[in-house]
Amino acid sequence: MSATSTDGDRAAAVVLVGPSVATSPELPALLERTLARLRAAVPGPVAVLASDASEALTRAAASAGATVIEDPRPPLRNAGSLRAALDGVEGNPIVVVNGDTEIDIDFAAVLAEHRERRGDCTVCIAQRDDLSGLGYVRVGPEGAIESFERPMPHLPVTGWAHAGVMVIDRAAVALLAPGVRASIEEDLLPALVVAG
Amino acid sequence: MAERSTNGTNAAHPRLQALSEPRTLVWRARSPLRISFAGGGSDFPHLFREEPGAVLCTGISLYATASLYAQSDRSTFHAIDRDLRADAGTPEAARLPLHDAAARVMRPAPGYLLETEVPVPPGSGLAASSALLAAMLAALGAARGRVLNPLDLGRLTYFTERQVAGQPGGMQDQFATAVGGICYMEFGPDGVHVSRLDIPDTARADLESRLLLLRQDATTEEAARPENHGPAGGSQSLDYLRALRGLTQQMRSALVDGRVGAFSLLLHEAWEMKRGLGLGAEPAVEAAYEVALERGALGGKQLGGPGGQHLLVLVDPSKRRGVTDVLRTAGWSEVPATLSTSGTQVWNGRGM
Repeated sequence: MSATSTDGDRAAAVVLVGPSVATSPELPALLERTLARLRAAVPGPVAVLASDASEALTRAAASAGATVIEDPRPPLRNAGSLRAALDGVEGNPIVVVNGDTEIDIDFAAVLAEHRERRGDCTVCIAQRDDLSGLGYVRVGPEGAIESFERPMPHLPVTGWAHAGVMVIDRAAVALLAPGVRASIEEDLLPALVVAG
Repeated sequence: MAERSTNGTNAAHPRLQALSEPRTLVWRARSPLRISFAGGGSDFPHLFREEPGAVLCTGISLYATASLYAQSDRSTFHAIDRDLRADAGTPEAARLPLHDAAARVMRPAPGYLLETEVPVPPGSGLAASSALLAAMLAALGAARGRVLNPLDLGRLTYFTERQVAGQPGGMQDQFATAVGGICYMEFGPDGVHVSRLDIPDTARADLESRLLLLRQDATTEEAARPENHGPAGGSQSLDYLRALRGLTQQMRSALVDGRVGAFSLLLHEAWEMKRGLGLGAEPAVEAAYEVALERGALGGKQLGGPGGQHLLVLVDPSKRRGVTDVLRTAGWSEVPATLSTSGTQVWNGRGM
């Protein structure tokens, strides 16, 4: 599958802060750490896409030089929101980080890996001892993702899960029609895997 | 009469000419249209995340077809039934939004003609759009060496139709056409579960013998159909959906047990339930259904909701003629259709 980004394109970054994360008291400090790491790794603009732009969130973003984009109303889920924010985020590809992710990943390395593999999307996955309530990622040889599975009783208790960090080409996000409700994990990524 | 050539073949014969056409058929796919028996409306994500839904439907012997040809100079869409052509990746491709969406998702190599044919007009209530899209995705996928299993094709068709092309609607149609046969689907927060029902052969034959599909003859101008956003939320809608799910489950059990008569009566019960909630069919359809009941039909359904052009009636074969003769005078035509057992099929055209 051919890539749409080139080495000359400046990558951008977006941190997704959903409703359950926005009200967490740990968020501002976590957000500051994440934004600082992204600033060091990503050459282009950094934005926070938030369901609720609280004062604390806005301060944390501003201190890191990141813009804040509020989710549209009614909510469009994370892929729909990302699609809506696309015009306000210049750069390609886009490093997308879940706001509650604390995983220790080298963003610059992930970005480099994405460019080298020339795919639509590179997803960071992590081994989990307990997949309860989480989607399960099936991985094939050479690290290609074969499927995203919803949390279901018959699936393995331990295995690979989305680690909350990915790099995605703008064109893949732009597949979505403006204003549609869509989830990155439930809709966009599984479709990209199936379509190949 | 064409002259014979010296080698004894009739090279000018139209049939042989067709085989030597310059364009090369690479892949062809067909997907069945579907009749939804019960549960429509409960397959909308904004609803089934709150209240689980269930749908019972079947593929029928009407198919959308997609043919993928290799051509050297350009990439083109052609919808035969609508007499519309457009070059891929240009502004005019917006005239064929499903073709455009399919190509954007599957990204075929340049230099192709994607030609399609659908046997019913838009707004038929037979999920023709989803069937068309599934056929296109299957053909385009095959060209890239991707064999999509029915569930993956159903999911991809949903993604492409609802989230790429942005056309509102539920989730049953895409799985119905991909999987085929008589399907029972459950929708809930953990996703979609689709099962093909294994009903007794005699029950299948019985159901098929009673199945009467009718189409309203075209009027001078077709009214624009409202966009299908499904029922609004709220407690009344959820109560209705809960009752509908119960009825759908009963219908499923009746079919699996081979009780086609009971199934027919439950179909009528669903009609009455919708009517009682102010969700009844349009006057012309209600009138036609009443006529069918008076002449011995046991149950029926308007297909596709408000504005749908088709009426399904289940009637004993001995009374069928009585129903069709009267309704013909009221502007209804019978659409020959049987139950289809296959979902989307794709095959290589190079062997022709």
